[in-house]
Amino acid sequence: MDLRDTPEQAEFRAQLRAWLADNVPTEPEPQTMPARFHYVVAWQKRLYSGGWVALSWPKEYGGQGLGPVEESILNQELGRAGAPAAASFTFLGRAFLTFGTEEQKARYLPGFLSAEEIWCQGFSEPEAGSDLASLRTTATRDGEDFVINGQKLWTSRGSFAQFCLVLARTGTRESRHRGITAFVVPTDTPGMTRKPLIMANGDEEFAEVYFDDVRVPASNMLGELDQGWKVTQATLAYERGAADLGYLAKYERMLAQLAGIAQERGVSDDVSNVEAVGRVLGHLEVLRLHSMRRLSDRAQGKAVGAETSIDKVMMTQTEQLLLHTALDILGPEAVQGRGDWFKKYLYSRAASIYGGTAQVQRNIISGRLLGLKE
Amino acid sequence: MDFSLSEEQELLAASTRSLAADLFGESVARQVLDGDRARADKGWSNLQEAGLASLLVAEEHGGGGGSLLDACVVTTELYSALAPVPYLTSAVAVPLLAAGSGEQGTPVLTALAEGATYGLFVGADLSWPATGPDAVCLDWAPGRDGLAVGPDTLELGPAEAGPGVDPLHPLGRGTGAGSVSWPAAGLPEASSRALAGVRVAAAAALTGCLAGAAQLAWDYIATREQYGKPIAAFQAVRHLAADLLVDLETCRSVSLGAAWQVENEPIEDAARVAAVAKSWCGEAAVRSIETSIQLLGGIGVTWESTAHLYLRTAHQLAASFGDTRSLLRRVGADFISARGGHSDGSS
Repeated sequence: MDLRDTPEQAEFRAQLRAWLADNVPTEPEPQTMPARFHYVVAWQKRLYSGGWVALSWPKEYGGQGLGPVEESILNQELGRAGAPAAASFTFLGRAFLTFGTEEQKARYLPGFLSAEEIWCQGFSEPEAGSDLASLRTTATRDGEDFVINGQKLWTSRGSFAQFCLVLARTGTRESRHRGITAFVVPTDTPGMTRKPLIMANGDEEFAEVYFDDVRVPASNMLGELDQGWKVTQATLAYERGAADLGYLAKYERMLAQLAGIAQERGVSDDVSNVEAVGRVLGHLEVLRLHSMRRLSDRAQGKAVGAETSIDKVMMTQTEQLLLHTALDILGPEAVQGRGDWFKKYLYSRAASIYGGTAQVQRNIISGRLLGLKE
Repeated sequence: MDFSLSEEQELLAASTRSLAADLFGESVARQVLDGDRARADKGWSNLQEAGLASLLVAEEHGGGGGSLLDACVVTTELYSALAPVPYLTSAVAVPLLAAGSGEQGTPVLTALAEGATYGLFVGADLSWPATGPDAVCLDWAPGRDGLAVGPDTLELGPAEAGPGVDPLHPLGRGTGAGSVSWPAAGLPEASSRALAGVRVAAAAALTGCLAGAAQLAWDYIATREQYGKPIAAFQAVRHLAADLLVDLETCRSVSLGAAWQVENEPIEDAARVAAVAKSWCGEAAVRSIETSIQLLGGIGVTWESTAHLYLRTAHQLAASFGDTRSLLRRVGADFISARGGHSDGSS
């Protein structure tokens, strides 16, 4: 065990820090869509031009040929510098790396990484959330094409994306995960309709997407026919990993802000506030060490598997405790809507739902990690 | 960045687990409950002969020259096996504190390498330092002296049986000795680092208690049948079982990572992460052992079940060397005074 950077990692970190000092946007991140979306895309483009995107991807596909540790250093340093997070949807690109044909990789990956083309993930449906394998959107073969009909929900960036990776049923209705195929669908294809979904905090992060005889060529299939479940599993495993997402640095900044506010208001000596801050800090330290352990496993070539469900539960608990503590410390002022703490708090309630609910994670832990039979 | 245990450490964990299974386990714990310490003491002699009890003593004093991380790996395995031995005190806390107290500690280190066993005096609140006549001796046994260590004091003293909730790790009452002086502030770094090391080792012990109790519960729910099937088939039960693994894995992460940090990073970071590890593992172990008892059902609350032994040990550990809430307040206060002045969080 040695938790320090290697000399190479330290050099990488130093270069990154220097670049960030010159490039982090000075204007604050807009609070609402679509302004925030454009801000994040502009930042992604700048990161790409600086060579800081897809660090752990192979060079031949536009990556930097580095490892998961460098990805983690990037996320740490972005948080430290107060920069917007790197686009958290790079896990979708993993599906193309693993399952795409050479033609698909050449066509889609450059635009994906440079943020010239924005993607969304058409997985969840009104009747298929946690139980994704029950999805009802269909794709029916018609000559050289597939015709897609149905509805997607909770589609992040759905209103803004140029492409959607759609899971559709190509088998019988009873085929569940054995009869699902993944398709690349340009969002300007005739028959596709998108409506923003307003969240409890007023935000428009998600969309409802309707498919009415949407026709795509069979060559838009990602992976093989009826093998879409594999694509899904590979994507979700990355989505659940805390180390990939780099939330930790963001949480640390929020806690420091909170401590500053508590001091300004003269409530930082209150022993219950001190203890509450200590409790959040404890969660952050545990999450940091736990993520390092996972990252180290991954860097040593151990496969990403069901263990990420543990990480997801821990991350969820940390985020929700942090924002709940924020409201406790801010007191009655928080509910009067000044500042954006209440908004962040509302968003934190989604943490135990997106990427697989807290209950689904516990199903995975008890079934796949503990081996308990149902 | 490398979080993994070395091959030697993996081997140390496996051999300790196997040794502890041979030497200890439920039947030895039961004998101790009935007042018969013969096999427990024999097991302790075996651990000494295997070199595990002097692992943390430097080679120049005749010990194994192991790291805190090595000792934590051993500690977790012994507490998971309900070993009624003074490992945390005599094999971890005493060598760390004696080495941290300078030359005066040398005779103690040499004696440890030659097979001596010590209890450890702490204050009446089970925290340290052990000042005053009401000091408590951790891992007391009849005829065993306790050690009181300060930055520039080190003395041995007798103790008599005292009240405690954990029969596997008895508490003694100081009888006059065990009073040392500690500065109110400005503790020497060597002492601070030793204290941090003890806290992390306690976190590793708590992780072991949690691991042992969780395994009892997981085994039980997979075989106990109600309504015609194992109760592990019920989702309400499965989710509690899953929570145990979340606690166990995070305890492992923080106790192992903190063990490395305490030996290798600046003292402020070492002190903070040690306090976090101790408070996290103290809270998680008690919570998860309580959950394990719930999963064990009626059996879990009987004297016959070993679950209460884990719970007793965990509570005593959680209360020792700084309890959860006092440690959280300490790290919270430090964070607020260091960071709170900069509400942009850039420091």
